[in-house]
Amino acid sequence: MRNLISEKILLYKVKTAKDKDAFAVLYDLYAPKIFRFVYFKINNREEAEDLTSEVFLKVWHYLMSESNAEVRSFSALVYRMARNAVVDKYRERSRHQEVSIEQGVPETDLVSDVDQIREIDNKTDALHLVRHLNKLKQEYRDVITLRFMDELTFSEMAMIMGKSQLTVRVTLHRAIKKLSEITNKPEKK
Amino acid sequence: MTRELKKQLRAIAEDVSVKARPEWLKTAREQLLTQISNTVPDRSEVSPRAAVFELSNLFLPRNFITVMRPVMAVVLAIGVTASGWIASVSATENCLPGEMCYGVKMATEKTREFVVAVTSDKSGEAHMHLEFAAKRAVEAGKVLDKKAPDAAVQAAVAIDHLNKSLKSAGDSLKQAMDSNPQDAVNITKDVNIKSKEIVDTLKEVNEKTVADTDLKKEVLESSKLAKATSINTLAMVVQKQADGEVKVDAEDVKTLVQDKIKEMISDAEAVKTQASMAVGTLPESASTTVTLTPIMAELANSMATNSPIVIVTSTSGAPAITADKTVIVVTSTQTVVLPPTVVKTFVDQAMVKVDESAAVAKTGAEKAVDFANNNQLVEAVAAIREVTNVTTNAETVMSNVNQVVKEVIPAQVVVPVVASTSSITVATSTNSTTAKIAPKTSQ
Repeated sequence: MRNLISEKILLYKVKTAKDKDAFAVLYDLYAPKIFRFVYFKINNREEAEDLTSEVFLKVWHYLMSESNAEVRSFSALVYRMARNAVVDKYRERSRHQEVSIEQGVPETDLVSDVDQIREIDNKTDALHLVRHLNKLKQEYRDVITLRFMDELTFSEMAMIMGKSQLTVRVTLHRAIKKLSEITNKPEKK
Repeated sequence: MTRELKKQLRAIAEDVSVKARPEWLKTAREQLLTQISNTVPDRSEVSPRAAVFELSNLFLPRNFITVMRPVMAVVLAIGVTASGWIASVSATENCLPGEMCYGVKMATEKTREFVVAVTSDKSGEAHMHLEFAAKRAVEAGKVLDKKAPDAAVQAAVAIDHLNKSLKSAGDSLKQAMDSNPQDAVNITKDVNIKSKEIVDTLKEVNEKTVADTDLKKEVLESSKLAKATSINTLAMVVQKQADGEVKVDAEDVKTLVQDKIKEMISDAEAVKTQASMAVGTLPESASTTVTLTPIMAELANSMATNSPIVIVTSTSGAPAITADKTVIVVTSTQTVVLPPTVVKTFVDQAMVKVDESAAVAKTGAEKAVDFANNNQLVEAVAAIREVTNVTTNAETVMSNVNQVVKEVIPAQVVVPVVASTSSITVATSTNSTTAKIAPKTSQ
């Protein structure tokens, strides 16, 4: 369970006192989540590790800059930077491999190799869920995973996605409805 | 569903295969701390002023005014109602979803609802809700005109509010019919006018939705709801008149029903006209290809029971079209290109469905006219409802067909082609000549 007040205090220490220890605590809290977030999008463990390290370094430099006054939530900042880093990674890939990109982040499968999911009690349900999630468009997948996997608040999601809270709520509602339709629809052979 | 979904997602998130390696976390942490140590000086002192500013920035809402805004909006709106001062209301009149002032606009309307609920009767309340619904439809169109990146989402916000207003209108109308039966005919006329206005606006919005299938569906559902509100009101007055509860002239009620039948026939004719214009507009040449879009997939799969073509989604493997072109496999990550002949097949299937709907609508309309002429108004309204549903479904199909045609011929002007042979007489100086126009088969 997240302690938002503690996180804000740590953020305060980083911004005002340039406290590296406070930043290290925030790293411990968010590095596993950011790694998972990035890994789900780019499906390559080594690249996800590199990108995650890069993101935290960028976050540190941003917090040390003059623009840090705008930062009110560490989670929103780090997820937003992670999202941007993934977009940059795909642009880089597209230059090398001529893969087309739509709207910055292409439609990628959530955990392409679903057989890697080993330790879930009901593996069949999880496999189905991942397949169904892959049928959603990227925006819908993002809101569902940010809300239910990363357990972010609507306020944080709004900051990450650059939209209003109401818009995020509507998008989540539509995403769940769409997922429900897909889940209830018999799969075509 | 949400609880189960959350549980499963948490389970996936906790799986070791998607977790960061502990040894990598440790190494990366050490590297990061080394890097940041080299870039900044040691911990610095913070002035009390800077500390207070930073603490308030982090712990108080972003802008205190933003938090106070809804409260201020309610106070201002009450001031408007009480004193007649209209500056704040007119200032927010042009606000659209996604804009900062939209919250004030909605709060103002909420206050008006409260005031009207206290001071006015139910028909006044219903009229207000319909007015709000009409405004939401206009807002959705304006938001799409702006073509901002989140236009579709903001339009969906407006449509969501529109649906709520229509439902509130429906509830108020029921109570209005019960409490003011003498006004039933006027209420019904008023509702019909407003509903038509909303439906017409939503038609324009639908044309602006382009390729967003979800928004298109929501707009068409709202249109259905607006039509249903009008028909439900008519059904209520007819039933009340039949039960002897409404002291109105039976002829007035009959006129209402006959007017509705005319409107219904006109809507059905409009769909039929659209269908005949769409025939022959798609190229049959296989020399070019077309990228499969969500609307095309929607159209193809809506014909699933009869169509020779089925679109199947796969999460792995390459996209494919089978040799007999009966199954098209798409994946979530790669686009599929189709020859226009395949697209024409599912458009043709859609046209078959529209023709079938037109036939059903024609039969239903004839029944409604007969019932009305025989003063069986309750049965007439039931027939109207049936025909309206069939026509609305056909409109949905036509909307998708028009979008598919636009997607296949993006740069060309679609020239309507008469589907069948027709004759005209050309007068010359010496004699008349009859010329035949043959149908075009390709563009």
